[in-house]
Amino acid sequence: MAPRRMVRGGAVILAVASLVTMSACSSGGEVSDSGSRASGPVSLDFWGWAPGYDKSVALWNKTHPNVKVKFSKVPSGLSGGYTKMQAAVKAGNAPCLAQVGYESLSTFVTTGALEDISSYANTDKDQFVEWAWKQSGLGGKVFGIPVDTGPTALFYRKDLFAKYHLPAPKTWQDFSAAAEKFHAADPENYLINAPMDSYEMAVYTWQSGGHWFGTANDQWQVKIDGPQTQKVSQYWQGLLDKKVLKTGVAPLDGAWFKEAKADHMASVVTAAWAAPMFEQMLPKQSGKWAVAPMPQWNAGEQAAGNNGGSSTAVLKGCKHLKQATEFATWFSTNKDSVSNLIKNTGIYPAAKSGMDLPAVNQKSPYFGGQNIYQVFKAGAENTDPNWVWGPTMSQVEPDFIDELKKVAQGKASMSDAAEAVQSKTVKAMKSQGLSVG
Amino acid sequence: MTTTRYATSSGTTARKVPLASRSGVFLVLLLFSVYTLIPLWWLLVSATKSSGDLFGDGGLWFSHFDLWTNIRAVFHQQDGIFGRWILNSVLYSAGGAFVATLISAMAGYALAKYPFRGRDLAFNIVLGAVLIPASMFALPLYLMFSSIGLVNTYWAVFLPCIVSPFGVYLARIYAADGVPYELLEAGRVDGASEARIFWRIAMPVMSPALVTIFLFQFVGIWNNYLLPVLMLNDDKLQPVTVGLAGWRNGFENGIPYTVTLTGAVLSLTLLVIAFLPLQRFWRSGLAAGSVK
Repeated sequence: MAPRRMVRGGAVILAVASLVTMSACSSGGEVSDSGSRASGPVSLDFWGWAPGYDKSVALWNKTHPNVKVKFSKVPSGLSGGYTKMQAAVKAGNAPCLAQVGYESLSTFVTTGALEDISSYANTDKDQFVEWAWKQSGLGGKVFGIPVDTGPTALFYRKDLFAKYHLPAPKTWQDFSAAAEKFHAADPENYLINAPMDSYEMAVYTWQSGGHWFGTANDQWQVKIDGPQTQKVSQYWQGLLDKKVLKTGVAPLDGAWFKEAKADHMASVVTAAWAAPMFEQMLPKQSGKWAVAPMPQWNAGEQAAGNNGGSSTAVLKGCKHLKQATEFATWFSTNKDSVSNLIKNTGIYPAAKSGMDLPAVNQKSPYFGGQNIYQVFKAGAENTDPNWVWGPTMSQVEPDFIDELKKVAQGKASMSDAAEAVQSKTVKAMKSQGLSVG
Repeated sequence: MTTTRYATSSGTTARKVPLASRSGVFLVLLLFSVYTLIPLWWLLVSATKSSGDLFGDGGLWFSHFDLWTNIRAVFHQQDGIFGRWILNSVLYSAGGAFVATLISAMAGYALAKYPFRGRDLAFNIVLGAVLIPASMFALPLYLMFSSIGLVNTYWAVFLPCIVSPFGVYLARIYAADGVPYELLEAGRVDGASEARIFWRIAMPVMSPALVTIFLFQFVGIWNNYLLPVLMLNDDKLQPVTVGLAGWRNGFENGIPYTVTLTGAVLSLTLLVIAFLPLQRFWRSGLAAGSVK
C-alpha cells in the first residue's frame, strides 16, 4: 500500500537498478512461459506484497477455470519489489500483473515497463472513483486497474479538544488557533506534527488544488513550488514560527506514538488505512479518537487529499492483455474479493461499489461509535482528479525529507524547501533524458 | 590457559601506560560499546512488549512482559512461515559459507604455492572483485540466471554465495605466510600426492584463516537482501531477512510491529548462538594476518 518511510532505501536501490538496467541490454525477448498456447486455460502470474491478495486470487481461480492466476508474494515495492519487477521486464520473464503504487506508476510508464490496456479497460472506467482511475494511467492511457485509495482526513482527540476548549477544526484558520491554544496549555503539547516528507506535502497541496506534475505535448510539467504549494508552505511556516508544531516525528512512527500515548499529540492528518493502527497501537485511547474531514481553506468546502493506494498494473511482455484486464477488474470490484481485501489487506476500496460494503460502512467502537468511513467516502469523492505523480518520486521523496529537516532546524523556510526540491527534480528528470517543459 | 596469558599481558601494559590515557581509552571504548549496544537493548526490550506498551516510554525498560505471546505470534503469522525462513537462511548461510570456504582455500592455496603464468593477473582480478559491493552483482546475476532458467530456485541464491573474492584473498595471504614450503617439501619427499598434501597438511595449518572466511561469508550471506529479492518469487524460498523486511512494511496492512521486532530478536539469537563457538578462532585468525 502506501510507501513513505521506507522510501529512502528504496530510492537507492531503484537508482542502482536503473543504472544497471540501462547498461545491461539483455536480449531477453520471448521467454514467456505461458507463451502462445492457443487452446487450454490461460495462466497469468501476479506479483504483489500485500497480505490477503492471495485469498482473492484463490477466489478467482475457484470460479474461473479458463484463466488461472498464480500469485507470488514479493518484497514490497520500495524495499526491492519494484526493482525486481523492472529487472524481470528487462529479462523478459515478468509476470502479467503486478501491484504498483500510484506514486510509482509514472516511473514504470517512463521506463516502458507497462502495457497500454486502454482498449480493454476503458469500459470499466465508471466503476471507479474518477481520480483513482486516472492515477492508474498517464497521458490518457490506462496501464492498470485501481485497487485501493488513501483518502485523508483529520484524526483528532475528541476528549483533548473538549478539555482545552479548542475550536472544532472546520477551517485551517480554526486549526491554527487550536494549535496555539493547545500548545499554550502545556509546552509539551502539540496539536500536530510539522510536515516531514513529500507525501505529507502532497496531501496538503493536493487538497489545495495544486498539481506538482503534469504532461502536455509529450513533455513533463513540473511545478513543485507552484502557488498552492506556496500557500501550504506559508501556512505551516506560520505555525512553525510560533513553535506550535512537533518537529522530528512523522505520522504514526515510533516517536509519534510515544507522544500520542502521553496525550501530547492531539491530531494527525492521515489516510483511511491508518484507522486499524490506532486500535492496535493505542488501545488505551479507545473512545477518545474521532475522525473529521480535513480542515478547509474556506468554510463550506469539502476538499480532501490522498495518501497511498495502488493499482494492479499490467507489465510489459504480457501476452494476454484481455484476460489480465478482466482479472484485475474483477479483483478490484467483485464483492467477495473486495470484502476479503478490506478484511485481510486493510484496503480502502477504489471501486464505488466497494465503498458501500458493510465492512467499510459501519460504526467503529474504537472511534466512539462513529462511522468514520463516511468521512473517508466523502473524502474520496472530493479529491481533485487531476493530480499526477512524477516519474522520479523515488528521488523527490528523499529530497523533500532532507529539505524539510533543514526547515525543522530553522535553517530554511518551507518555501525554500519547495523551491529546492523543484530545481533538484527538474535537474534529475533532465539527467534521465526526460523532456521537461 | 589463554586467559592467564591475556591477564599477564594486560598486567604488563598496566605498568607502562599512565593512568590518565588508560582511562581515556577506557572511556572511548565504553562510549562505543554503549552506542553499539543501546539499539540492541532497545530491540530486546521491545520484543517483550505488547503493541499497546510499545513506544510508550523511553523504550529502554520493560513494561508488561509479553515475550512468550509475541514469540507465539511470530510462529503463527502467515501460517507459521517464520521457521521456514530461518531454515532457508541457515541453509543458504551455512551451506554457502562452507562451500565458499572450501573454494577459497583451494584457490588461495594454489595462488600462493604454485607459480604459474598469469598468477598475479588472476590474483589482481580477484582483488579487484573485493572492491565491488556484492549488491552490484545482483542485477547482472539476475539477468544471467533468468536466461538459463535458474531464477526462483534455491540454486539462484546458493550459487552466487559460494564465491568469495575476499576469501580467496585472505586464504592466499595466509597460505603464503602460514604454510612453509619446507612442510610441503617434506610431504612430497614422503611421497604424498599434491591433493593429499593440500588436505592433510595445508588445510589444518590454514584453519584459523578458514574459520575467518567461513564466518565472514556466513554473515555476508545471512545479511544478503537484494539478491534473494531479485531471484526468488516464492515466499517459501526467502531467507529471514527478506521475510522480516516484508513484515515490517506490512505494518500498514495490519502486521503488528511486535511480530517483526520479536522475529528480529529470534533470528539475531540464532546468529549469536552460531557465533559463540567460532568466535575464538576468528580473533586469532584476524590477528594472524596483521602480525606478519
